[in-house]
Amino acid sequence: MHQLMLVGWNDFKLIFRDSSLKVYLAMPALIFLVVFLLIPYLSQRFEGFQTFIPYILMAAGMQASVMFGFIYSMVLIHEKDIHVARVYGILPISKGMFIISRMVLPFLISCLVTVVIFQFQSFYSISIIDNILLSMLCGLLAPVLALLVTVLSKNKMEGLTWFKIINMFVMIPVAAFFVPSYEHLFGIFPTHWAFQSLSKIISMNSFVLVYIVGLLYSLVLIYLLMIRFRKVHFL
Amino acid sequence: MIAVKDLTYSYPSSSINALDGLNFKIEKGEIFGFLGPSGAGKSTCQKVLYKILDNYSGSVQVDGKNLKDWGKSYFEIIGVGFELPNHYPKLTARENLELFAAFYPKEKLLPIPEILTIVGLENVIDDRVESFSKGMQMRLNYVRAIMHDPEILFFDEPTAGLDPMNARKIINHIKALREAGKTIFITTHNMTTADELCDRISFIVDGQIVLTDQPQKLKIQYGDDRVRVELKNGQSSEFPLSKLGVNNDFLKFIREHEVQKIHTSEATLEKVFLQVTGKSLDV
Repeated sequence: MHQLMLVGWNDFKLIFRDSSLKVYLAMPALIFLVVFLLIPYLSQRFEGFQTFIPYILMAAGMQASVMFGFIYSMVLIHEKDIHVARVYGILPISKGMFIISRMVLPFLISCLVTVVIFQFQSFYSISIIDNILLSMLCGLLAPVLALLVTVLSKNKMEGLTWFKIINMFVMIPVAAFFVPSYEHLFGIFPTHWAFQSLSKIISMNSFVLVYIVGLLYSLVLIYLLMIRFRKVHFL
Repeated sequence: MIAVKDLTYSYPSSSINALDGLNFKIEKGEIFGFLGPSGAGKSTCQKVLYKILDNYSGSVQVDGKNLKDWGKSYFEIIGVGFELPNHYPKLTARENLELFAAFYPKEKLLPIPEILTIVGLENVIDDRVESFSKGMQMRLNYVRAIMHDPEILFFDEPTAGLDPMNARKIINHIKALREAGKTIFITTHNMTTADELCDRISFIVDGQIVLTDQPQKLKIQYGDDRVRVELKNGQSSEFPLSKLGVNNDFLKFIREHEVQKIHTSEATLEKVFLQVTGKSLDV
């Protein structure tokens, strides 16, 4: 446990000491400003704006995960670039535990930021339990993104390109709400299940089924990505 | 300590064997070296031995146990000095070492300030690695490899990028590790390092071991059995080593002239390598 905490603390030091990454840590504050101040203001000012609030909340709920997924992918790619990843390959620690330990922090921080967003938004009443469950599902996007971008990229430039491409797909499942007959075709994107869960929570419907499917799907994705990560990261 | 039999490995993207049926043994307390040009398979072989590469064929036994049967405890008994510096540049030397030290049993760890003294980095312990030269980073690599007092050490080009003074410090410390009973496997294309450090060396070319022996034996075996006498006036002459004491030409030559130097014509490892493999170490 001490080792895993040290790795987490080390990751924070690396992010804080990297001027190109630490600016992204301000992103949660920006999301809070948008959700807590800008959106209420716009909804009062413009008639019909309320229609878009669920979609804006969906986007806001994903932003922390996207951001921490991105930051961690950059940390991991840099680690591979400078061959430090090889050193982890010869340490007396299970590779699986090592990968999990690196993914716990982005997951937890993303969850925490998302919990705050859903708890203090002023548009819908979401119970704390539903909030935590939903935030966990949103938070799983951080490790999915971090691992996916890392296994696809050989260097930071490739990482940035892949991140931009993948980021384009994050909000695509919103389209499912406009074509309800085909909504679960969007299920290939993990964010689809979080969006569906949020939609059901705010419309007071049961979200258990879509939540479980989404949770399992995200965990399977993370597992498969971990296998690939293990094969390519430590060489 | 290490026994390798018919070790063959090819990279997934290649149809050519990077290692092609290697056979060798390294005894406990021995410094064994792979000498060969770039791309010969030296580093690949080490990567197999420190379990970064799997899917090899053949057998590798370490301390009497199949390498594939070793779990993560294997990494407690080995130390690896990589060919290239690999540290977090934004962390200090101390932070880098403490991070990786946390994964080893505390009772085995050597005090970080003390081991930095071995390689002359004690005064920059709290400086960020990004301010280090390549040579300083290589010395930090060395410290990281030895900080948990491992029984088996792998060094890939241990003196690469080092100035002569610091290369000497590393060479002397590797010799001290041998005296302490450590088993050491070095890969290098630097024949001076190989010659000075290794108890035995193997020449490796295109993934195959061409020859294994003691450096001194090889130099004598492939050298000329002759003595070269150099005079102060710049003249020189060579005489057969056999029955030198009763060779009248030799005796007359050294009696009648002012001798500056007399030495045997033993070969350098580089010459032996060229003679045996037909390839240069600089390739």
